[in-house]
Formats: sequence, structure tokens, C-alpha cells
Amino acid sequence: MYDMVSLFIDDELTLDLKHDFVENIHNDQEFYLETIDFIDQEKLLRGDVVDRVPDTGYVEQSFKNRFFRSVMRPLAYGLAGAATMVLVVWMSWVNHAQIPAHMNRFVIYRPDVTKVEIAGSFTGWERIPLTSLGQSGYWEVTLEVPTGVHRYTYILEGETPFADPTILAVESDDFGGINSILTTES
Amino acid sequence: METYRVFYIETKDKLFGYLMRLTGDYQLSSDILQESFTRMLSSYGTGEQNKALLFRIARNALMDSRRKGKQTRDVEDYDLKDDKDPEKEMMVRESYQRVIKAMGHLEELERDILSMSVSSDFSYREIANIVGISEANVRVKIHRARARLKDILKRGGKNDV
Repeated sequence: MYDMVSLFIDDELTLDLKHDFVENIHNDQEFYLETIDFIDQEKLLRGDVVDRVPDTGYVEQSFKNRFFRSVMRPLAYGLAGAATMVLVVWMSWVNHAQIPAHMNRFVIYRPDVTKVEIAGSFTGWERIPLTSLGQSGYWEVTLEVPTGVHRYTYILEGETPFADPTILAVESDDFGGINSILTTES
Repeated sequence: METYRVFYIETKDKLFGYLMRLTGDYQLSSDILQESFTRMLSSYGTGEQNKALLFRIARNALMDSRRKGKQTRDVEDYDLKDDKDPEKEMMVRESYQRVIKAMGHLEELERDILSMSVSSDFSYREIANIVGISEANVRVKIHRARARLKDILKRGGKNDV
């Protein structure tokens, strides 16, 4: 009888079974409580698993990414390790409603450095400094990013390139560095 | 291409949710997410926008990845039983970490089917087709998975499972 609860949750009950289900709920207190428990569990189960689903940029860089995958994968794991220390928040997704679509807010958490810059195709590869947010360890800058596919990197202390760990789409540049790939929509 | 973009946007969150629930591994799920769309595009082009096909491709990609992982990597990278890895937990919402841990204790096929059911709007029949078992079997396994999960969560209390 109890698997009726799953059929109920998954909208798989026939009309006859719906009749039986309601009868059961009406007559059987234990079944009623059990059903409530399962529904509450289902709400938990169907909740958001992560804060942000990665944008893999499936078309634009899929072939390059395949090519570099063997190189990139160990690095990605390294970055994941570094990310326990370095938490980067991609606020543009959170604050999407407050910022015009063509403005992107880049935020990075690096309390261990004194200077962070960003350079990318949307800046003409000019370095733009990020502003330190007090003592919080966060650095931020809001930049205009035209619709399309863009490459960029952070630069730490004026010399060390640092790919955005929250952007999984990456590619090697011609100088041995790693660029993050950002796709913006109109 | 534009309509495929719409298909991509509409399905990627669901597929990613399925992969996360199934593996508990953010990096692996991201890789498989990208691999699935890439495989679908290279095999079928932008005209094919079948969600069930996409999920089937994703399951295959995951199986390939695990097989390859076993050959070239140490076990710890893709060990699904490993629910203590802080890097994996980091990307999962705090409110969901307990659920992911509990799901790690389910039998693999039960976890797969339940993950698919809660992450998509597939019917039991569609799930049966994707997974390759009977509809009746899907029905049994989904409920068994839910009941087990309930037990595990109850036993685990608030802190640990």
C-alpha cells in the first residue's frame, strides 16, 4: 500500500488508485502521517542542490576544451583544491535583476593578496584593477561586457594569472596561461 | 542554433541536478554536463532536442567516465562512497548536504532512478526506457529508495548520517 505514496508524489496514480488513496488517507491515521512525512522529505529532496549551476559554454569552446582536456583536468582539480581557500562569488548571477544585462560584476575572494586585476577580450586585454572591499578579502569590479563569448583572466600581484575557478569553461592561451570563458546573453 | 540554446537553457539545470544527486560530485557533474551536450550536438546536430535522449547520453557519458577513471586514476577521485571529501561538499548547498550524504548510502540503481525522477518531469515509463528496466521495476525501486532515504535521514539525526 505504501508505494502508493510514491505514485501520488510522482503523479502516477490512475483514477481508481486516486480513489483508494483518498480512502486510505481518510481511514488510516498511520498512512496519513507517513504520507505527510514522505511529502516533506520530497520537498527537501527536490530543493536546489547547488547555489549556481555552471555554464559550460557547450558550443563555443567544446572542441578546444576537448583538446585541452587532458591538460586541464589535473589543473581543474588543483583549482578545486585552491578553492577551499579561495572562494570566488559570481555575483552577477545573484544580482542579475539589479544590474543591466550588459554589466557584469566580477567578485573574487583573495584575502592573501594586495592587488587584483582583470584583463579580457571585453577590456581589449587592458588590465583593470579590482577594488578591495574593506577588510573582507573580497575584490570587485563591474564592467560592461558585450553580448557574446569572452576570454579573461585575473592577475594577482601584477604578475600571476589566475583563472576564475567558478567558470569551468577554460582554454589555454598562447603564452601558457589559462583563460576563463564567459558567455553573455542579450 | 537559437532554439537549441533555448533547449540548453531549459534542460541544463535539470540535468545538472540529476548528476549532482546521482554523484554528489560538482566537478564530475560539470564535466558530464558539458560532455553530454557536446556528444548530443556532434551526433545529432541542433535539430534534436529530446530531453530523454540527453539524459541517456549523460548516463552513458558518466559510465564511460567512471570506466576511464578506474583505468587511469586512483580510486579516491571518483569514489562515490566517499562522502567526507570537503571539496565535494563545498559546492553543495548547506541545506542539501545531509540529503546528498544520505543518498550516497542508496543502492546505485535506486539512487539513479530516484535522482532522475526528482530532477526531471519524466514519467515512470520514460524513466524505464532511459534506464532499460520495466516500468513496474521503476515503481518498486523509486519507492524503495524513498523509504530507505527516510530511514537513513531519521537514523542520522541532524549532524551525521
